[in-house]
Amino acid sequence: MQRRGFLKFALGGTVGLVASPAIWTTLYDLAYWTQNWGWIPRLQNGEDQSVATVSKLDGTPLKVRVNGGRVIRASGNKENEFSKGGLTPLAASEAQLLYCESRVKRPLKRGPDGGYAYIDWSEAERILKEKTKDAQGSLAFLTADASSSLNDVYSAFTAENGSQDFFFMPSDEQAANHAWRAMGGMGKIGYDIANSDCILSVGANFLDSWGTVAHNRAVFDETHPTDGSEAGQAIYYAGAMQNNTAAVADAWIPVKPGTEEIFLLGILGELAKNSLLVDPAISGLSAQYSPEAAAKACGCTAKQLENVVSALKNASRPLVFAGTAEGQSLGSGVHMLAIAINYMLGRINQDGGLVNLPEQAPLLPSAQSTADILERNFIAFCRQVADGSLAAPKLLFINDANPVYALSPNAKVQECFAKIAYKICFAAHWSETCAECDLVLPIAHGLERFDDVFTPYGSGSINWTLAKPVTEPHYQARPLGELIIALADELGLDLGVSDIPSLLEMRANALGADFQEYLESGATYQEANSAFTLPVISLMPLLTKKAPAKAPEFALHVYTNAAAGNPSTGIPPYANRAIADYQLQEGLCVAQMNKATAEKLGLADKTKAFVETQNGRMPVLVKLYEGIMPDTAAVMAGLGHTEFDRFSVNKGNNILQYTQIDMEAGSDLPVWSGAAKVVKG
Amino acid sequence: MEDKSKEVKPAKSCGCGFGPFLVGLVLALVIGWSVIPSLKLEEKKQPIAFNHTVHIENAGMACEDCHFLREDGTFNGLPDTASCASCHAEAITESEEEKRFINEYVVKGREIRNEWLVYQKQPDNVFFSHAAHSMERCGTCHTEFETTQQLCNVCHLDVASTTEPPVYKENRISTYSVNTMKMPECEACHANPGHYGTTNASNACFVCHK
Amino acid sequence: MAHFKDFTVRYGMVIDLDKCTGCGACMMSCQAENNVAPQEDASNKLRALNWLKVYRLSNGKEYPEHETVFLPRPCMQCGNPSCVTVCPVVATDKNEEGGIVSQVTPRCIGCRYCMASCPYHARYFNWFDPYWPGDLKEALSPDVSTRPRGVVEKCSFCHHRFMKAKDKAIANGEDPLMLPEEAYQTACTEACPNGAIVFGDLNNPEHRVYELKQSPYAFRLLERLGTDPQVYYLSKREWVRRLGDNYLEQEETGKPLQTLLNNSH
Repeated sequence: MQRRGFLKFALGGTVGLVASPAIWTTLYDLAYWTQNWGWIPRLQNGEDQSVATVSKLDGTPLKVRVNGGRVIRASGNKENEFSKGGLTPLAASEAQLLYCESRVKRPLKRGPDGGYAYIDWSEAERILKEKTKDAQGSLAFLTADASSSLNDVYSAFTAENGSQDFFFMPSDEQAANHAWRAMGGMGKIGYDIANSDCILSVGANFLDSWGTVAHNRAVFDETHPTDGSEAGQAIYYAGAMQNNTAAVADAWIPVKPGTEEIFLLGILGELAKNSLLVDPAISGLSAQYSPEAAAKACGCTAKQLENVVSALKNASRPLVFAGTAEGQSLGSGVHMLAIAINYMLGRINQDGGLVNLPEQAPLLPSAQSTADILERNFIAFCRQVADGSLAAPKLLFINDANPVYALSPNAKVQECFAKIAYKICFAAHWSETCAECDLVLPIAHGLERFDDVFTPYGSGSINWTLAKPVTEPHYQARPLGELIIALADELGLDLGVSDIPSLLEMRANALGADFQEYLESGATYQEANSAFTLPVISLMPLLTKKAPAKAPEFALHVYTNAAAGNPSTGIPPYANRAIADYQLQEGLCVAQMNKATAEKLGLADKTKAFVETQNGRMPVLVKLYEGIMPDTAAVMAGLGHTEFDRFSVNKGNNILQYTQIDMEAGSDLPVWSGAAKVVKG
Repeated sequence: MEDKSKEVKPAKSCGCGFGPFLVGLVLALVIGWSVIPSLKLEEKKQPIAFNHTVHIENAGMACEDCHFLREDGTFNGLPDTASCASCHAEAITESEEEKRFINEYVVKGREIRNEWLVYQKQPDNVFFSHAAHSMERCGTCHTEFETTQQLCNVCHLDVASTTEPPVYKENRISTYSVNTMKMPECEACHANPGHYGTTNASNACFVCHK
Repeated sequence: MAHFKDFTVRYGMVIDLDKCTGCGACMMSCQAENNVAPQEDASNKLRALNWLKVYRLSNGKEYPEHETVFLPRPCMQCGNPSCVTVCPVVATDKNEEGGIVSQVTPRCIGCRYCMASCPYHARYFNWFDPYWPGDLKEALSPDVSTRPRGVVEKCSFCHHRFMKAKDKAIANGEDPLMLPEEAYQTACTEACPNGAIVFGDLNNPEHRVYELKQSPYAFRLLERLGTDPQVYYLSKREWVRRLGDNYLEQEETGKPLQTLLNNSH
């Protein structure tokens, strides 16, 4: 064929192609292709299911959407009377925490070189059995979750192994219950927030992360109508920072970290002035703190203090309580004073006051009572083991707790760990503590197991919500409760229960609740506070209490943010956006302070500085915020993880490793101290 | 010179006329109309050779027994393994395909619905409401639809009378099924001014997109 | 002022700022509900993407006069949306009953005119392809399509929930345009444990927002621009209401738009 012929052929071909749909439909197809890039996940659609359960992270009742077997997201449970459908940022992350990269997927064993290798469950079970057998009588067990009935299984297991060393992570709850019992309370301390018309919270961020948050906030919603009509509950928040609770409170009373006791003494003294209930304990202790003196020490004005007192006096159902950020504690002194104030106001065992939640008998014969467990002090234990005054246990079980991250060097966790021959971490997420253990076993996430939330700290009545699995455990995770029961069987120990659902049924029976009904509905069982006899509140402990320490010149306020997760979860995937962007810079925490403070220290906004404590120097970025009292810097905890996943690692820095932990005189309870300095970088 | 040059040029023996043009044209038309479209399409078989006719005629089932609107307004387009198993827990006919379904899906608990290929499958960004396109709503004016089936067949393949499922053809580039309705077909009704005021079916983006 | 288009049903929010504690539950729910990919580096404000964002407001005074308020900011679903008028490809529009400003990402060409025109910073550009590391994509909702990089997206008032609610109404023989308040609620509204967000049809006297938007404490953001937002805020604090717009020192808050219009005629 010659050139001209070829051209004609080509022309014919072109005309033919143009006249055919090939080019045009291909362009069309390409357009569709660009709308559905192959590397972007496609949606899957299955049948929708809504399963009622409860968040094991903060006790928020949930409705979990499951679509074609996939857990889509956690929402609040509108039918639940306890929370009225509210959701907390942490509970909202449940589905994402179930699937996130930090999940421990298979059993891991640490080799001699310090590296971890995957092992089979059969081998893991063998090691578990062998180590437990060897450690007979020398087993310690630490758990982060104090509100689960499964603690009966764990503590029974510990006891059956000949040990009493069953611990909760240190918390406000321990200190408050210590105070409650020291002063004559019989069961657990309860706060009837729902029925109070005037609340004074000293340091407890109860509308964000303290106590039964979802419930507290449902109460807040009910008592604060959106239509602008009169609020049914006055809220006074005393603390160093204008935080989430303070933002909606009727008044924010600045109280410097470390002076909470003085503030409460000031209130107590003012109340005692015209009271018929003049007690030598009170007048003696509070005499040195006139409103003026107390206010001066705390950093507020006498007027503010007096206003609170008159609000409390004029209210018909006032309630006063103290608290700290999650995972911290101020010791028992503040709680004793808060109890004394409630006593002065006649608010012990009253509707909307401090209530005595009757002690619940353990469900299993060898289980330890919650009261006994709360009396046990993990930090004291660690310190004693570390300095050799207590024999180190041969074996340590850790259930989803992260003491390595959450406790400062004062707690001597690392030194204690070094003396324990074998440490086994049962964890859903790979934490800093996992990285210090010899064996790490994947356990079921809260949405993958039977569990419950039983009268968590901050409750105003005995209450109980069942958690049930909304999905089979993912990866190779197993529910810890079942694992421990199976291990006990293997070792020939009788815990008195065959599986977790029957344990939970025992709880239901003990309460007189219908197990099946609560399992289906995800409702919260609530016991009415019966008019039980008034416990004799003894003010004796106050007499023996030493006068509080002087106000520090400069103080550090370490706060938590519910969105940032807890030490056991790390920062949940979606939470990064809910944390201020300036908080997330690599290796750098933010110290918020007001302008006057910064000027005094020679610091300016966005400059670098150091927070100096007994435990070292931490680089910080200065951020001016006028919602912080003078001579105080506020630093957010929950950041600076070195483990977990990409959403947690290297976001900010971990202030918890720098905060000073002291032991309270008398009770030996840990006190998170605000002692610190901020110096120029 | 001029004459000479004329003589030198040989007469064309080929390259003249429409021959090559026509060859090219025909070839391109064949390629453009048939070869390329078929190359673009990937044929897939349904996981089970489901026989609609047998179920309707022999078993006396109605369309709505499997394809129905749920109470929450969503559409149960395909039955799940469990609802098939309500009759086919054990073999009730001699059919090999039924045996295979029972062994592969019912016994193993595999979900047939996840594997079935939907001829009209819309991409992720489209929300189609079966509830809104019901006989009660469309049929009020469009009396040409005598049965629901006729209305369904405006968009769907008429599979009711088939004894085995039609071959599913997927475009390799767009990954859409060839039977998927594209936007112009939706707009044939939605952008039709005759619908305004009668239905809520405007041509607004959020009527169909998500 | 004339609306861009009149609707029988106009969905809107009334957010009580005196009840918001800024916890972020609404933001978390929003992301999960709408398949917004998690962001590894959220410290980069310029590249961040939030359909709903909670701002911490300050009265600007120094300690101890300082006050803090938290303000959640969804898309305002303006009555006169400036984003719609500038879009060259009609990827965003406001033309459906419900009065929600639509955003169809497959149609968006990523020119970002709408972002420049939006006075509320409610629109965000996808600088990156969405990425759900590990098995996080298992938790993707089937209700909202995923968006590639290079397009703009924004809050849709959980429009898919509106579609579902309408379908449910149709299936039950009810009028899809006269939905009861609880039939259609956004994810953030549902999530808020304080009940700070109230959502409903602004035109329907049976919905709570109808009354609430007329409260003397109600205000809208930059309403004197004439955007006619469908999101109202409530606060008993005067300084918060003043932050809603650029007021002159002596100027009072209240019904500023009306005053402005009266003066101009």
